[in-house]
Amino acid sequence: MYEWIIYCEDSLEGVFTAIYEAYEFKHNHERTYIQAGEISNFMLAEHTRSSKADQEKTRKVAGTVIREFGMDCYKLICRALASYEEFKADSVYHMIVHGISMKKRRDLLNDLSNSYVLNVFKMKIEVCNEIHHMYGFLRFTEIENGLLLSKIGPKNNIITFLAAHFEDRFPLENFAIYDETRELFAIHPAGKQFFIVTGEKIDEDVFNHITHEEELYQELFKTFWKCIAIQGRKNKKLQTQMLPLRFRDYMMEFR
Amino acid sequence: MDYCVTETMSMAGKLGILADAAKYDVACTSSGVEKNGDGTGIGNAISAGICHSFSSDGRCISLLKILLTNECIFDCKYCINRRSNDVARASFTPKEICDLTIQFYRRNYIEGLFLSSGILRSPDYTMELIYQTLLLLRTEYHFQGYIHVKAIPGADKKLIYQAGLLADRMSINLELPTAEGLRELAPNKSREKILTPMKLIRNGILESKNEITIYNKSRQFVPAGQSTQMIVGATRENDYQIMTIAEALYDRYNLKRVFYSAFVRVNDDTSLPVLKEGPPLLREHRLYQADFLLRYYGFRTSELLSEERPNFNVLLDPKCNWALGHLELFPMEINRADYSQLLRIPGIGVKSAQRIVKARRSGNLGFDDLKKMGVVLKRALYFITCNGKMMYNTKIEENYITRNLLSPKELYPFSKDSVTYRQLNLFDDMSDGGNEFYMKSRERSCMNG
Repeated sequence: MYEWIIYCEDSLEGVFTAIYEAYEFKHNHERTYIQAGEISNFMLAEHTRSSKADQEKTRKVAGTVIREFGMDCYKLICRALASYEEFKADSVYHMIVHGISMKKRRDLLNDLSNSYVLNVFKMKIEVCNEIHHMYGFLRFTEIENGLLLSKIGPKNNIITFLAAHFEDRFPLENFAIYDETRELFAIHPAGKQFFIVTGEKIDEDVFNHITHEEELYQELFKTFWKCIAIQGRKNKKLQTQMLPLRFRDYMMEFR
Repeated sequence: MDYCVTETMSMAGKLGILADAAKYDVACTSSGVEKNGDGTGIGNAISAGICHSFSSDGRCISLLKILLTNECIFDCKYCINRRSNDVARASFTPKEICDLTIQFYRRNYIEGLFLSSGILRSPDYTMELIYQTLLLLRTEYHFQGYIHVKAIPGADKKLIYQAGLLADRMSINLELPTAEGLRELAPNKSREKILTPMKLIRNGILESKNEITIYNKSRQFVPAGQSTQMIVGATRENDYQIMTIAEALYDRYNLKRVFYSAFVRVNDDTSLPVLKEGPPLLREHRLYQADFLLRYYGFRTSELLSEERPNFNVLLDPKCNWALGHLELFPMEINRADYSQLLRIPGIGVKSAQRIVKARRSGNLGFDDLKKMGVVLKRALYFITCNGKMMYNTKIEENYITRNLLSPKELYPFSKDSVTYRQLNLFDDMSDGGNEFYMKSRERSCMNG
């Protein structure tokens, strides 16, 4: 049984603040668990506490991570914390505890024989793979007012990474990406920086009001998509392996 | 396909014909160049490349792969667009191509443009049209994404050079591995006509790299390098000849990639072979495996094949095959073998070899650790020791190991309707941190497209 469970907000700030507080209140790290966001499985503990995200504490923890383990490690943690796994906050917390105990702290990332490091590493790879998939599989639809709109349903919370990529790609476009599962919007006004809006639902009706041009290009791409396949090499299994089914609901050419 | 050929063909009709005509070109990768947008146009590129969709043959769709025109004055026997074929013909105007590219790109359907063409009137005329298209796309439409363009064999040097300044990657297809094959099946092309522009592009790339001050990055010549492709199975060349040529291309022409394309019989012609089992996909796969051994694992063709044994083993991949022929070098001690030796062990790839070298600095490694690092132990276990011990009590004997490696799954990786490449696994890192490896795994997973 844990001595302490700290509940925190499901964000980088939330988790870092909780880690700071675990040190601040001198908890026994081996008997402390950090939980980000809601839990599906209740655990028993002698004490629980919820922590509130704090900028100053976040900055301090981030500073320590960068100083002791390097920038690579910090970036890795940022990506790992976008994971959907429930144990992500705890893995990051214990990875840092493990790293602090090491003599050569810069070698933390190479120490895959530690299960927390391995967990964080796995989560980061899964998140990065999904980001990379979505760079390609995300589809924009031009709706009547000229806005490019995209609906996605990724496993991990990756909307900021995607928005940053598309901001660089389409600096002069008005576009918006909507994460259906988390009800998040990333909105990019032409020529400006993108921002995130939380807790707003999309009006599904907008997808019914598309321009004539949009319809035309959708059809053209479908034509291209069909014609580019070589019938003599047909291979549905390989197609499914490369493009898993869960992405296809959001892709125009599969509808 | 039924296309009504009228004076004013619809865009969909044209696209259908010209995408259909371009589909036998293999290269569709959008990798090799990293550039951010400058905020004034549209587009960027990341060095790993991005796949946007996958067609029903499992090949990736990354670029809008089309021909400018499928009209052609040449008569290559294997080509669907040859002069003597009666197929529907169509041509795009440069503006149509630009509109299509930009509109597809905005909706994130594609990563850029792949522009090839049949020979309309003359090589120079065609190359000029291609150049006009790229110029329009880069300057009027401010497109900063990926462009792969074909150099037309026999076109003027200047035109090819100008187009190269606007493109990211350029390629000239070698088409057939030997000069005899070329003479037989592509009477209008010659080895010389193909190699001359290839040399030109190589020199252009070298010069551009040696320029001490490149103020304007966009003026770099073919920054993502040059590639080519060979048709496999249309003529009588063996694997040894093909790999020797590929090696020479990498060594002497500094090519980024050589693609291999299993011959698909699209024309009924007496000079073409009839392949009952369909395109030689397994052979193509073995060539790609060997190609990766050349480029990333420090192998030479002469180690893998010889005059006496000119073809790859159907049952075993080239690396396993090599290891079985050199059992005197094994088992290798994981904690001592140097990096280049590690790369030669079956079941160990570039990334896992790197991880081993890093991790063993802080302590001796055991088999459990290797597993976590992504080593495929079921292959590697016959060839390695950890701290002087093998994983199981196995014999180091060719027949014994071969039998064990050929489990039923290994035996038939290629049943006719289910070509599968390896599963994407946990250690296929696609992050920006592992770009080099990522690029490799990515190119490997879509090496056909």
